[in-house]
Amino acid sequence: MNPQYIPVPTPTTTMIVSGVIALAILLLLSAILGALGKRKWKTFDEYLVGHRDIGPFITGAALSASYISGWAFCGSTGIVYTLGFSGMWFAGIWSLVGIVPCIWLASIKTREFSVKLGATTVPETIGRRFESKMLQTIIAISMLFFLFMYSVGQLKAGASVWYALTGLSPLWCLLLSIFVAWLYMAMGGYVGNQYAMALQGLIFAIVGTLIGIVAIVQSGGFYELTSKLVAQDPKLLSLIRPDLPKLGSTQLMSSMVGILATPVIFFTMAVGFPHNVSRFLGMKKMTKKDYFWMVAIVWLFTGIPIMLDCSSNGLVARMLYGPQLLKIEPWRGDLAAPMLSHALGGSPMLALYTAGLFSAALSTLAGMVFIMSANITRDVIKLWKPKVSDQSMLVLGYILIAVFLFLPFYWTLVRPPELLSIFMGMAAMGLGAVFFFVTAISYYWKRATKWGAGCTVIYGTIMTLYGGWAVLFKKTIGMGTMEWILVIGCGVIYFVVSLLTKPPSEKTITLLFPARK
Amino acid sequence: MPQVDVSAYMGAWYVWGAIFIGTFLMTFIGTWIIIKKRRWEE
Repeated sequence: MNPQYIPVPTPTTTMIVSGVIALAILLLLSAILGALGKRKWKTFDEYLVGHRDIGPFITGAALSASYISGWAFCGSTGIVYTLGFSGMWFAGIWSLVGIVPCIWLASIKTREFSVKLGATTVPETIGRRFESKMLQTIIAISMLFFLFMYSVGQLKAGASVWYALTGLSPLWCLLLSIFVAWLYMAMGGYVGNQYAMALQGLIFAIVGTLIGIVAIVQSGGFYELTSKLVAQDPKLLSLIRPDLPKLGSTQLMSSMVGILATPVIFFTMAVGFPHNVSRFLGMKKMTKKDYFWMVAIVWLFTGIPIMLDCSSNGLVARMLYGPQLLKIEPWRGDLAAPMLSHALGGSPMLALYTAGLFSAALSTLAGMVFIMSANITRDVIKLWKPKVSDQSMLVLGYILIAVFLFLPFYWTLVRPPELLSIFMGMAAMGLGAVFFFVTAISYYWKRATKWGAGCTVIYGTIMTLYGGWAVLFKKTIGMGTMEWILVIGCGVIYFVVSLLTKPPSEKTITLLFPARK
Repeated sequence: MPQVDVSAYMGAWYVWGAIFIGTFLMTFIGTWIIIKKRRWEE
């Protein structure tokens, strides 16, 4: 042990018991909220979207929860702990530059379009906006493909932290977590899920803010923190690290091409993620005041915790523990956030952190899984076979939710196939680039066509697969360069193909884009 | 241990602070503009 740094704690009975209690309370409250959601639906349509009467506080909190994943709550601190300040570009310093424009661009329009078109899912809204069942199917399949890849890694942070801190296998803890998630989604449908997500958003917002502020105070402030980090390694205070490889994911910290791509990545991801946009399907008609409060909640819940989480928290962890955590295989930097919480407040703070981390991980996963299930039931089967009974779609939905929750659980315990791991890393960027245009821009540009949207989906899907191979496997392209190829390519194809093809009927255009009085 | 002059390294915090304040202003000024400009059916 280096006397310069504090020792790395090992699991104690108090740590295990307090962690179990915190997680049990989180899961119990989530299940209760799911049960409350049961009163809000009777038909398959209501199961998918409720009564469209959810207010700004629940919608804002659920949006924060769907966006902030387990990775954002744990891995981002680990990146800054490992690389220093330059890691913040990749770790999510631009999160607000994505999630706030997501409200600006998509909230009112998603509700308005889906109500006018009688749609209950995002693919259905877009399919009807372009008067194309085939486009709805293509979007649903593409969404399913991207969300499936992205969902696989969602429980990893929770499993790593659980095992490292309690010494217990994450099997039962994860199995119980996904069972409760299944329960509140199956019982409460969209509304139950939205309630549970809002609670989870509240929990990680409180925990993240608390840890971030206590960390800065206990470190002695910015000057003291800087002094100690410079003594360790002055590179930790650099905003750009030209010494790191300019190919692969490190391009996001090592070159201006990569750093400039980071706000674009976070912007398109937040606006394009279907699990973010879906939060607005069930919201009530907003007044100016409601709208303001929704933005304020998202700023509070996402902005403050994530700004601290992906910058100062990693640096304070580095100041306290030095590079010791990097030597602990296989978690390394992932231990920075939990160890920091232990250093700041012992077992109680660590228990709170565990609840916050599981809140972040479960909410994002549940948001995605609900959409994946509806992609199959509503956007493919019910679309082409409308006579299929609602009851059979509900039952199939329950089964699909269970399957889509089980697969990430399985691949958290058992190493996923290498090909899946590679594509997983690019899924979020692909989702963002494709659906930023196909969803958000289609709400505003009435000249857009089904062909423009369809070709964008196909291009984005192919390029994401290529990107996974070239950026993460062969490392022949930088991640930032790939983001530019994806976004610019999707944009050019969307606009050019739309201009060359026939727009939807005048009736639909007049309905969705009424002339200003 | 002698105190090292780290003022040259504080620039990173200024950038971080600028992003923090910038995103705060972006959020509330942008929302204020949208509330003012948008047609609200209330």
